[in-house]
Amino acid sequence: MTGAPPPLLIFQVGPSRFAADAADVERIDPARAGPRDLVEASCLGAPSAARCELVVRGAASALAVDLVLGIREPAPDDLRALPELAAACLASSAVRGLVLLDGTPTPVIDLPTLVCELRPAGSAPEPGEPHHA
Amino acid sequence: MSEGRDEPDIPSGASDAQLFCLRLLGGRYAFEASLVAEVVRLGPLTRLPAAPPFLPGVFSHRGEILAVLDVNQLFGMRPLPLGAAARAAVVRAGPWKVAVLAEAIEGLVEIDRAALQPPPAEAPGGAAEFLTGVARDRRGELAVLDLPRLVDAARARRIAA
Repeated sequence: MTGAPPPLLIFQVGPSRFAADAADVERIDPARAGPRDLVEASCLGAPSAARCELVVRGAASALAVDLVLGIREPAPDDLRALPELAAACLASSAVRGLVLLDGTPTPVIDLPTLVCELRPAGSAPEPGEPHHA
Repeated sequence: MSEGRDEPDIPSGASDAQLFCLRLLGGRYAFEASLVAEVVRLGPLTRLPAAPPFLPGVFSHRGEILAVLDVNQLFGMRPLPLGAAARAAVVRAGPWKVAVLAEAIEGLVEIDRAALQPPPAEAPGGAAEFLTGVARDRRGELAVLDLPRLVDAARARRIAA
């Protein structure tokens, strides 16, 4: 990863913490705020309480999460690439790298890619939705 | 996370193989000692989404993020324990730098290359194809792994795992 790091939204699914580009989150809704495609379980795991939903910008989908822990602006040195073997073995391209949060590696998730991967094969993207092939 | 370094201080003859021995797959396995950078005690791991079972997580070590390889799970065996006593050998195997999780770490052993025997046709979980030989020392039998080829196979098996 290069360039100035974007602000990251930190959230929790089950026992695990994740980060995502805050710009990819249109808003944070309470659980069951409205009818839409809701991702309740993914490779991130399944939330235990699903207290809120991250509405993914341009995707008309939301990801159910347990907690939103805030926004971090990481230093460039805190953003790390995945170890090469891990990058070669992951079954999802939504895991873009890692950010060190208080010294702990935390997966950085590309939310549009995550919801795109979970969409049934053959379904068309929503109008205006960026294509994350 | 603390770590200790195994210092290779055993004099070697030209016909001796310097191997690094650890316990996994229920037995003693070894690979070329030159592949090993150090031995680390594992702290908490970060699980990666969509990772195969043989990659139970990553950790930060001296500013570097390393993936942990559980060889047992690569061969469909019970996962190696990841408790507070878990240790791993940090190795560079071909293009990959990984921490190979072990049941226990013995460290350096020196084997007369002439005493190396051909590998058996059968080994736990199908590991025989990654063995280059077997030998005996005072602690018993050990099998010699082609670690770079094993790690490469781990990458190639990502879908099946």
